[in-house]
Amino acid sequence: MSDNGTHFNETFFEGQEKPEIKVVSVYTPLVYVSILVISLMIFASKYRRSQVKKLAELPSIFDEHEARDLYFAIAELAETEQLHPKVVKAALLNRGAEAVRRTIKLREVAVQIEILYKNGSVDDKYWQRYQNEMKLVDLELKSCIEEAERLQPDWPQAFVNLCREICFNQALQRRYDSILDRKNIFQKLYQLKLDDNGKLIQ
Amino acid sequence: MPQNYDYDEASTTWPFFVLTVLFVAVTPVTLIELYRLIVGDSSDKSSSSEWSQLHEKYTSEEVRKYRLANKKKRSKKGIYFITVGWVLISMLIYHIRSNDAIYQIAAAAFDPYELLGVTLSSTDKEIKSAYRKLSVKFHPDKLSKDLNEIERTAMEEQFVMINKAYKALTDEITKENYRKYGHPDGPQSTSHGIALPKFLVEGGTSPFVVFAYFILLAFVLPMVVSKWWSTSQEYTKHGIHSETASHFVDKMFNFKPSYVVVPDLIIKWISEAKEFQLKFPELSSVDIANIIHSHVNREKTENEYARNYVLTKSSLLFHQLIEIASTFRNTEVALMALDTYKTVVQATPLSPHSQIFQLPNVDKEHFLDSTTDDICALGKLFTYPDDKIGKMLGIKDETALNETLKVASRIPKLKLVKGSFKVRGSSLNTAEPGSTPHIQVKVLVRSPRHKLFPNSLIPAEKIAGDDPLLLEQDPFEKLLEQPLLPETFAPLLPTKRRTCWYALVVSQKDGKIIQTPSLAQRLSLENLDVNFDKRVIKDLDKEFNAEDWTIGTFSIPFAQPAPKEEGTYFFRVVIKSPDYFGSDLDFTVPLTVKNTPIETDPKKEILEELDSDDSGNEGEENTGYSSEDFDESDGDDLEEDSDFTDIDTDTEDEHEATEETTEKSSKTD
Repeated sequence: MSDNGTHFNETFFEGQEKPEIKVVSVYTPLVYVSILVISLMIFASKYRRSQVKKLAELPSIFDEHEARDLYFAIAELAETEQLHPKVVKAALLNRGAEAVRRTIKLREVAVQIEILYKNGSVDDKYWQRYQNEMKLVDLELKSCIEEAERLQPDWPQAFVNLCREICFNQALQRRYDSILDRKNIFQKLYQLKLDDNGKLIQ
Repeated sequence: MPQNYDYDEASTTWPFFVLTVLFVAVTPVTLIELYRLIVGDSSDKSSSSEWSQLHEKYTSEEVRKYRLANKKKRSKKGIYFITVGWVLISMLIYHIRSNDAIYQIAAAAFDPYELLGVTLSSTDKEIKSAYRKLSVKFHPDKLSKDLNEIERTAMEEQFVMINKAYKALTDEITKENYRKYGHPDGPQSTSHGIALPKFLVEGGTSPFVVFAYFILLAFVLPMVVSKWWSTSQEYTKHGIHSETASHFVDKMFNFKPSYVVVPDLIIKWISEAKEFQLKFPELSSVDIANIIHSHVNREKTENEYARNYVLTKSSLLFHQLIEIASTFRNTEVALMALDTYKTVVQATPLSPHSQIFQLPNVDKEHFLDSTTDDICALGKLFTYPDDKIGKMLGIKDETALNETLKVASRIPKLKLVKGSFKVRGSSLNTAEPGSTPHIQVKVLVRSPRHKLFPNSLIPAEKIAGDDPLLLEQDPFEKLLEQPLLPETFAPLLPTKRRTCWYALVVSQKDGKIIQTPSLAQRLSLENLDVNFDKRVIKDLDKEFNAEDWTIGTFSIPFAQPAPKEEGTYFFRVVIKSPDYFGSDLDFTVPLTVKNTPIETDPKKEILEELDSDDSGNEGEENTGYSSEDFDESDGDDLEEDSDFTDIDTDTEDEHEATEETTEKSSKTD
């Protein structure tokens, strides 16, 4: 510490060398800490950005998003050309219906995906994709509602209900349409013979 | 390096270390290989059975080669390892034996028994007398004077040692010392050394050793760990590539109920697996799908070299697809995947005549042209006399026909005897709310050649099967008493496979699968050997002998506890074979949830249960089954929406009737 102290030591332990004292500036620890903290912060931000990028690169678990693409194509067209406002609204309703379908679908399979993830049938990546989709679908629905409000200020309340109804109607329509396909395909596959009324001939 | 470490300069220690490590590695592998050799012999024995010979006969040369190569590849690795291991071990042992330094060290060790020339079992008296004799011989005073200095000192040392040895065996303290420290004088100085020869650590080679350590710790170890980690990430727990798994899950996730599932779609999904892309980067998924299609249609493909691998791998992929589809509760996909699996195993496309076309030697065109009556089922085929079957199938050669009939008659058909929910430890047919029941299915395995007989002919105790005293036994452990199923007759498949059945449980409420399929690999097929030919048996009641028949059991775990509320719940159980066409079972089982009344004397209950079994059986029959014979109802399965129990039973009665009439008409022919 002080000069005295060292002298004092020296007299007692003659054989020992005089401890070397280095003068360290007060800023040294501060610089050290700040370098440490800054480097960690840079690393953290880089890491987070790369993680976000990775997440963004993960493909959606839904096959396509035609309704959304269609809406944006029409909205773009509406800016340049004169379109009937109902066309844009119809496209938005279609997009909203798809968003509702996705919300329902994701909620429906939540248990199954969890089972698959827990018993090791799918990897972490898929689980991450599923989590992403859960967040995205909420945003999508929200953005639909905002669009609806932009198009017509007092619409959103009715809009959501309407979307739901459209969604159910579309589901029923799909099932109804597939009945004939199903009949034709299985008739061919199993070489079934049907009479004029469509009844099976044994 | 501290100076006080000794190196293993005379190579006295490291050979033992290496020897131990080698033994640890080589011995288990050797045992496994020996076991394989023995078990392999026994499997060869089974392959000498008529069935396997038949299988072998129809296997193409190419497939046989592939199977053999695969088998060899697996066993050869182990044999190489063992050979190298044992050669190293013997070299080491030789090295140890020829190393004098080791003997010197061993000789320097103090062994009082050897010094005195007595054995471990010698008594005190013997020790004493041996000591006396030796001490007289070596006593310094008694030594002859002619000995020179060196011999004299050696003798004197020997005398001291003998004294010590004697003390070690008689004196309490020295004995204790010897016992504790291995030396009569108490603890000896211990030396810590490095089991490496000196030249490796000091001198010119030391940089190499350091370098080797560096490589090992800095590169090899992290690489091994990271490789292990990435492969464990790359493949799912069930052995398929995780991208393939994600692909299947994606397909199931995006599956809309309006899609129609056909075998082509399933094959398309399978062919898009990552495994194939990795193995054959030059082939597109369409090429892979073509390979599978050409196998199913028994045609040649342009990419013949990939065929064996694709088919071998597809089995696992099918299994996973079925599992994932079941987890997604999709009955349609799961059932169609099973059907497609079947078409690949039997190399027979899905058609109303699949059951016939899965047999060997069948001329498809001829069969379709020649028959006027529509024969779809093996059971119906066997209503005709042998020569007529030959004519219909277009088989002229007599041995070929016999073999075809042999295969046909050994395709197991299941006949439902009783299907019910059981709770372990309870003899009742009802489950308490919240209890964990399982589904017990009693089946009769029969050959398509056998004459049908009603369940009422089977004695009730055979159906009940389980001894009331054994109710506590684990139902799944009990299944292990049944023998493993034999090899499947699938000569065109590059791998040999064991027959099995998938059991799917579907809730009747919404027509969706409620749990992952359970696999049954054990069932006795001895019924197939019973001689009960349709065409021979005239009087069913007289010629039926209940003793001949065994009843098999499937126990299907039920993944959820019984519902909380009382009532009857219906479940459709589909037992489907991925191996043969026409071996499936599809029926409805009711689960009655009921609070049990106040407990009565358990003995009395069992007795009552036994009494009521006969009468209870008829009641059981209406609920507990649907299709008696699955010959022609494959079509019904696929339409999936048949979740009305009553409809099932209706159609099934018709089946019985139609088959009965066809049988009669054939007889009148």
